Amino acid sequence: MLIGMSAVIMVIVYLVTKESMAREAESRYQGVVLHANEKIRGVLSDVYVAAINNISDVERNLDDPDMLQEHLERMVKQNMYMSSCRLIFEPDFYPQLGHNYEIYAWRDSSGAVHGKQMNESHPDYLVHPWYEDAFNAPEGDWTPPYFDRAASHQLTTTYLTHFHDKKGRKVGLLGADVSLEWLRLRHKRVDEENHERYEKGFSAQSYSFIIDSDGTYLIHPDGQHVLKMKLQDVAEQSGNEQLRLLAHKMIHKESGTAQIDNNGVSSWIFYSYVKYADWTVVVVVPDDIIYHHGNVLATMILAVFFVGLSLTYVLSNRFLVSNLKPLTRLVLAVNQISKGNFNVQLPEVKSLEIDALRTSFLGLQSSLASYVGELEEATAKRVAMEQELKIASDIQMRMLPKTYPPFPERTDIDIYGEVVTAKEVGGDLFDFFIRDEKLFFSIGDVAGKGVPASLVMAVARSMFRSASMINTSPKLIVESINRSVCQSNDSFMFVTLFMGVLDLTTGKLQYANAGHEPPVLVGSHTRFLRVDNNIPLGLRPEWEYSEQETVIMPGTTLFLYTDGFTEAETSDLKPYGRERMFKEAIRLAAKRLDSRTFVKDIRQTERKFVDFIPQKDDISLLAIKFRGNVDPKLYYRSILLNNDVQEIPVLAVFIDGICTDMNFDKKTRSRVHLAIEEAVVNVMNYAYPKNVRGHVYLDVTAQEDTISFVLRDRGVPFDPTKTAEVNVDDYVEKRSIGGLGIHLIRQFMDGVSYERKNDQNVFTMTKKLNNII
Amino acid sequence: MEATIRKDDERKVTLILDGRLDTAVTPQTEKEVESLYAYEGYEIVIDCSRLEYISSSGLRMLMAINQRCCDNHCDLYIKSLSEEVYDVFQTTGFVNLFKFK
Repeated sequence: MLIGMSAVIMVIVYLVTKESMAREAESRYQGVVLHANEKIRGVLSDVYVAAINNISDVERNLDDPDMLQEHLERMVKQNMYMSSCRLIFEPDFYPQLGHNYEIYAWRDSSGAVHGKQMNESHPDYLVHPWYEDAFNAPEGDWTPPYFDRAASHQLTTTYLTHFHDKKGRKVGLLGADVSLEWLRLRHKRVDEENHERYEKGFSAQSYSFIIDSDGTYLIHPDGQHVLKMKLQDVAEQSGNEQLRLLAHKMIHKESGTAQIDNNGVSSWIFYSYVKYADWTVVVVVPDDIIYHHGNVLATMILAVFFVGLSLTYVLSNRFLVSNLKPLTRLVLAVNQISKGNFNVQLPEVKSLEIDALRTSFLGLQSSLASYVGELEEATAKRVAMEQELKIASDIQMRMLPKTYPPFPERTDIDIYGEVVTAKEVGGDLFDFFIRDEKLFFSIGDVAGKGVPASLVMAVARSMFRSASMINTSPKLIVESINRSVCQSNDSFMFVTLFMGVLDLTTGKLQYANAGHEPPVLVGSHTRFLRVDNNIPLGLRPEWEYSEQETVIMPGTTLFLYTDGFTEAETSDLKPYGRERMFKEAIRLAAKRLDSRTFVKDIRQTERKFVDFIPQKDDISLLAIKFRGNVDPKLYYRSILLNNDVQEIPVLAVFIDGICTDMNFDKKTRSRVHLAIEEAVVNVMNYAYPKNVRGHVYLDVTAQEDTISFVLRDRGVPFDPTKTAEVNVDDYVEKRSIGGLGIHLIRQFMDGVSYERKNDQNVFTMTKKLNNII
Repeated sequence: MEATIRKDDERKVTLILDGRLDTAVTPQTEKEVESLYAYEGYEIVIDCSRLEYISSSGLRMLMAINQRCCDNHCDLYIKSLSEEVYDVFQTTGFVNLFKFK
C-alpha cells in the first residue's frame, strides 16, 4: 500500500519534473534569442539616435571641415558601440580640399579614437552602388553588413543618412558604423556559457547564428559561413523539407520555435526576427539538451526520494528495533506471566517510557500473583464444593420418583410430582409407594441447603421407606424417622415433613404433620387439611407426634407442596403466598383435572405471578388424586399432554389403563390405542405452529354403553373430519400420504365429530361399549 | 421399538421389528432401517412376529420401505403379523399393498 503510493508519487514527480525542466530549458534558449534580439536593437538604435542627433551639428558646421573632424571624433568617443563614423561629401563640396572629400573617425583596438581624411585612399566611393543607393534613398538606413577593409577590418554595418546644406540640398552622407565584432563575441560567449553550464559532455551542442534579411549568415560559429553562405542555400542542400520551410519563414520575418529532425539529430530551433535591423537571431539546441536536465533532475529527485525513503525505513527500523528490544523482552516476560508464571523476573530497561511500563507491570505482576493465589484457593474450594453438590444433587434426584404415572395399571389413584431445584442442592423431597392397597406418601423440606441438608433428607427418606414397611401408623412412622434424623443430626438441622397413609379402598387418610405446610384438598369442597402443630423432625428424639385422620371423597386431589412454592417471590419481593395458591386451587378444582394437569396448571399461576424469574428455593409439588373404585357408569379420566410426539408413550400408558377399566379385548385395545394416538398426533402436528409450545387435553368419560374421548387444544382451528378420505383399495403409488389417520379413526370408532368451542378445537370420538363387552 | 436387520444369505435379508411402532419412535426407526436400501435384488422379509402395535406413521414407513425396495429390484414380504396389527393392515387396505409369507 505504502509502496504503491510511493511509486505513484515517484512517477508523478518524475514526469512533472521532467516536463517542467524541459519547459525551463526551452525558455532558457528562447531567452538567449530574445536577449540577442533586444541587444541588437538596443545597440543599433543607440547608434542610429546618435547619428540623427549629430546631423544638425554637422549641417551647422559645414563650412568648417576641421570642426567636423573634431565633431566626428567626439561622436565615436561618446558612443561605445559606434566603431567608426564618417562624413562623405558630394564631389567638389570643398573645392579647395579636392574633388572627393571624406572625413573619418575610428576607435582602435586599444580604445583610442583617431581621425583622418580619406579623400585620397578612398577615391572612388562615389561610384559605389551602396553610396549611390543610400544617397538616392529618401531616408537614412542601415547597410547590409559588410567587411570593412578600409578601417576596422571587421564585419560592419553602417547607418547612412543624408545631411543638407543651408539651402536644403543633399550634400553628403553621414555614416555611423557598427562593428559586429561585439555581436560575434557576445554570441560566442553566450554559446560557450551554455556549453559550459548546460551542455557538458554532449556530443551535439547548441549554437546560435544570425542571418540578415536575405538569409546571409552574419554571425555563425563557423566563420566560413559569414557573408559567404545563405541559410536557404544550406537548407536546400540538406534536402530537409522542414529546414527549408523554416528558412523560408525566417526570411519572411517570422519568429518562433520549431523542432527539426536533421540527419537523425532532433533539434529545437528558436528564432526571433530583429525588427529594427531586419535580421533574425537563431539558436539551435539538440533535443537531448532540452530534456537532459529534466531527465537528470527527475532521476535525481527520484533517487533522493528513494534513498530518503530507504534511509528512513532503515533508520526507523533500527531505531525501533534498538528501542523496542527491551520492550520485546518485556513482552516475553509478560507473556510468561500471562501463562501463569508469576515469579518471572522482568528485564531491566533503559528507556524511560518503557521503564514506566515495566514498573506498572511489576505492580500488575505482584497483585496478579496474590489475586491468582487467592483465586486458585477459592476455585479449588469451589470446585470441590460443586463436585460435592453435584453428587449430592444427583443422589437426591435419583431418590425421587421419576416415572409418571407411577401406577399406570391402577385406576383408583393418579399421582404426579415435580421438583424444581434451585441453584444449590436443596433439601426438598417427596416419596410414595403402595403397600397392601395403602398409599404411603410424604413430602418434606430440610431447613438448610447444600450437602448436609441433602444428607439429612436422604436419611429421612430411607427411614420413611423402611418404617413404612413395618408400620401403617403415620405417628409411628414419623417418630421413627424423627429418631433417625436426630441421631445423625449434629448440626441441628431440622426437617418439616408431612406423611400420610391413604387407604385406597375406603379413602381413609391417616396423617402426621411435622411442622410442614398444610396440604390442600382439591375437590367439591376445596380446603386446607387441618394439621396439628407438631415440631419439625430432628430436634427432639423423644417427641410424640400426633396422628390425624380424615376420609377423602373419590375425585379429590390432595395437593402437597413445600414452602418454596408459596414463598416464591417477584423481582420486587412480593410473595406468591398461600392464599393466592388456595384461590387458584379452588378455581382449578372446578375443572376436575388429573394430577399432572393440576400440578402444571397451578405451577403456571405461580410462574406467571413471579414473571418467570428463577427462584432461590426448591419448589416441590405433589398431587395425589384419589379416584376410588371405578364405576363404569360414572367414569372419568383426563390427561394433559404437551404437543410433542415424544409424549405418545405417556398417552399409551393412559389409554392402556382405560382399556383395562373397560375390559376391552386385545383387538379393541389395539383399535382404541390407534384411534386415540392418530387423533392426538394430528393435533400435535397441525394445531400449533412449529416450535410453539402447546397442550393437548384428553378427557375420557364412560356412561353405561358409550365411552367418549374428547380431545381439546387451543391451536389454530382445524377440523380433522374434513380431511379427505383415502381410498384404501388404491395402490401405493396413487395414494397420498395424508388421510390414513382419520381413516383409521373413523374405522375404529363408532362416532367422530368436531366443533370449535371457546377458542378450542374439540374433537370427540365415541365407542359403544355393549358391542364389545 | 427395536429394528434389527439380519442378512440370512446372499439372497435374503430379514428386518425384525420388535415392540410398538408408534409416532414417537417412527423417525428413529426410519433411520435404523436405512441400511436396508443397500441391498439390491434381494428377498427382503419384514418379520413382524414381535410387532405389538403400528400407527399410521409406522404404516407410512412400511410404504416407504416397499417403494425403495421395489426400486432396488427386491422382493418384499411381510411375515407373522399379529392379529391386532393385521387388523390395521386390513382396515387401511395395506393387505393389498404387500405380499405376505
